Amino acid sequence: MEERATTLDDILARKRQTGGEVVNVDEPAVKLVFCSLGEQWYAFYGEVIREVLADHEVYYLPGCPSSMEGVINVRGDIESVISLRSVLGLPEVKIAASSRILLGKTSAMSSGIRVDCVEEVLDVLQSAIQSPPHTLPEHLRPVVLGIVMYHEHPVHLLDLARIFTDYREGLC
Amino acid sequence: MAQAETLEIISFAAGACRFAVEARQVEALLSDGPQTLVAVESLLGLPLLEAAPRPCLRLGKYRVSVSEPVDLRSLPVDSIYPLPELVALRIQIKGVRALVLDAHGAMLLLDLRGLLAS
Repeated sequence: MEERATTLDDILARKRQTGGEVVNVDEPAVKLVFCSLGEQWYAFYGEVIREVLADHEVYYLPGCPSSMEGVINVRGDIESVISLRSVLGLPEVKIAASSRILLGKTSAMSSGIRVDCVEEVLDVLQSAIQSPPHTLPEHLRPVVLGIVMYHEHPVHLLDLARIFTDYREGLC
Repeated sequence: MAQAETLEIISFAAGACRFAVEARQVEALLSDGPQTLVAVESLLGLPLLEAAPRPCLRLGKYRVSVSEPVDLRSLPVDSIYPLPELVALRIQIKGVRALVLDAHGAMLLLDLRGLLAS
């Protein structure tokens, strides 16, 4: 029986036909919501931000800390609104047209969070998130999960669950 | 067509803010009587801004003085909400049971009888 010698072309053709499994070598990415308070940039994991609200009427409530702006009615659900500036120890400023309320929800609780501006919602490689530097101010250490660069700005990735926990315990 | 469910409340002002109490907690609206007079602001921990004689709500052995406007009205149940968790944990005013949102803004619904009892 006459056998034809296998050629490289045969081998390559066979390989192309079988195709082979596509191996996903993409790095895991996470969705981040980038926001700003003045010149400072911050981010939250997208999984804890349900919605970004603009022009929502905030109802003032007496007897609440100054860091609590009031409550909002989101399609029949009443949510508190806290100021991220106050929580992070930054001075309050007049609410501008660019200001937004992030509707944050963790497994334990939910609340609106007032920020000066929402910059972008973006997928970021997990590997791009670096550990917080040792030079991070003391008061930020408990709530900063990491640092990520965005448009050449260092951005503090914030721990919303920790912010809520500290807030409910009156620590901020 | 079924009528919307409502709650009878008496609304009033205190410390320049709006509050309400379930009407069933209040026996009468009066200006004088033998009952012990208590300013609602002292119960709520708010500053007393008004020195002039004010209307009083009678609740058992107490007369609780409040500021105008004082209204008896039916509130649609849809406008009554539980306090959001962070508000419930951080609000300094005692005896707040619920939140009312209406065309005039936010109003806190109080348990005055509970406050007086404590």
